[in-house]
Amino acid sequence: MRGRLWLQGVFWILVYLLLTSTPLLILLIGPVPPGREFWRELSVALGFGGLAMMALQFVLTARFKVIKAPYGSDVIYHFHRQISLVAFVLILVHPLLLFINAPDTLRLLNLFAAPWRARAGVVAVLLLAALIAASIWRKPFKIEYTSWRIWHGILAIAVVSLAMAHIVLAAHYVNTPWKRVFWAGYGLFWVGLLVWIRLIKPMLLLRRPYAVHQVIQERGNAWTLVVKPVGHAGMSFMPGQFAWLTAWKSPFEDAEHPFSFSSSASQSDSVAFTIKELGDFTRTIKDLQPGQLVYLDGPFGAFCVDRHPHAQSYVFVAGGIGITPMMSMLRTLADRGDRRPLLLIYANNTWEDAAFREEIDSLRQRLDLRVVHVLRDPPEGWQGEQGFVSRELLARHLPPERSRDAFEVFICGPKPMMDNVEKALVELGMHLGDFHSERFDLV
Amino acid sequence: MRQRISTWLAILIGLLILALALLFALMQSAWLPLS
Repeated sequence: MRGRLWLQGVFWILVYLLLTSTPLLILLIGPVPPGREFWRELSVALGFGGLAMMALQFVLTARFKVIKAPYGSDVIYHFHRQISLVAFVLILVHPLLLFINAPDTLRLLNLFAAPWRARAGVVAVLLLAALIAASIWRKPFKIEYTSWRIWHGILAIAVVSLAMAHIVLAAHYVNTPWKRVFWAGYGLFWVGLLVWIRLIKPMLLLRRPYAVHQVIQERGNAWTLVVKPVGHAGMSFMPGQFAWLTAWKSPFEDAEHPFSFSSSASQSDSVAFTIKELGDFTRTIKDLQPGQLVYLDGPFGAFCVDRHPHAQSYVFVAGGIGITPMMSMLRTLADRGDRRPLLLIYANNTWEDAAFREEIDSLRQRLDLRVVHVLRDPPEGWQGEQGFVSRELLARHLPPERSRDAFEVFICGPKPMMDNVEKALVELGMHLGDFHSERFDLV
Repeated sequence: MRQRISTWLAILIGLLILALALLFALMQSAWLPLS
């Protein structure tokens, strides 16, 4: 499985490279308009390249399972963020080179007097700057996640539409019928993608609703939401995966939130998520009423024991609500009667914050499971580990055998904990392919 | 770790586009003749 996924991963990177470079290659092929000075042509080419990268962002975030499978959603979103910054730099250089090469073109910045091609270009760059700033500094700007998501989509569509208008109005490189066909096709592909994301996908979700069955309070200010499919067979997932949940609103309103399944993948009649109260949406989970309809898009994610079936044992490192995907994996392994040795290192602020601690204790009857609780603020008389999940702590508890496939490590928790654990595992001689992280705090 | 690799991939793709843009500009400005 690992080899096939690796090949798929390489394949999609090659497709991405091809699609990003196609507009530039098209410019180079066939009858090209008379050449102009070097800096101007470089500026134009960077503009085309930047636009191709921006338009492809819609593919990255359209949640095509086949594309996400080899990497995992967190990596795709991280790449989406990084490649946006790279594209933004290229797009910014496009007008800057023009201005340096011919300072009189600075007059194009005057939106009142500039021709429409320049107006479209300038507004596209300004909106793109706003989009990127709002994504990087969403929390300092105190922008609520749902509003941010809606505006992110609107701004992204506006940016690419205006950039396409800029190309068509400038007209210089849309000089032959077949190039016009190419750009029309590029535009249609992009519009088709939008129709899929905003219309077809929500319609499909609407036809497969789920009803709230139970909302159960857990330790650590978290709630378990149990939902059952209504009029369909439900969803089969791999333990550790996640789904996008829409509650209170229609799937057309683009108000989804990603949560890991916490239930066993072997249980088919219902699925459960355990959600900590952290923001506006998560605070409403406890108010959901039995029978209320919600919508699930999924499953997604590569953070899963089933992708590493040959491991001789598994190690789970969870921090706080990062226990959720681990619970799904532990419950599933217990339901399957898996007898491989398991280690759970579970970090919390206090003993009272440790969600599922009683169930984890009882799972030890059904699994070969060793549990190490780590508390930052332990109660008096605590005999166990305290502080953070450090390199020394990992060295004390990890199995001594470090060879490939001896064990696979799954890490989920707050970002600083995950960064520290990943670094420590490398220092302890773990292979990069033998540990896996799930990150949700993307914006 | 996979995220760090994806950051480098994004940078490499940016550099590839820059290289293609340079090639295009060289050809179009006749500094690098097409034939």
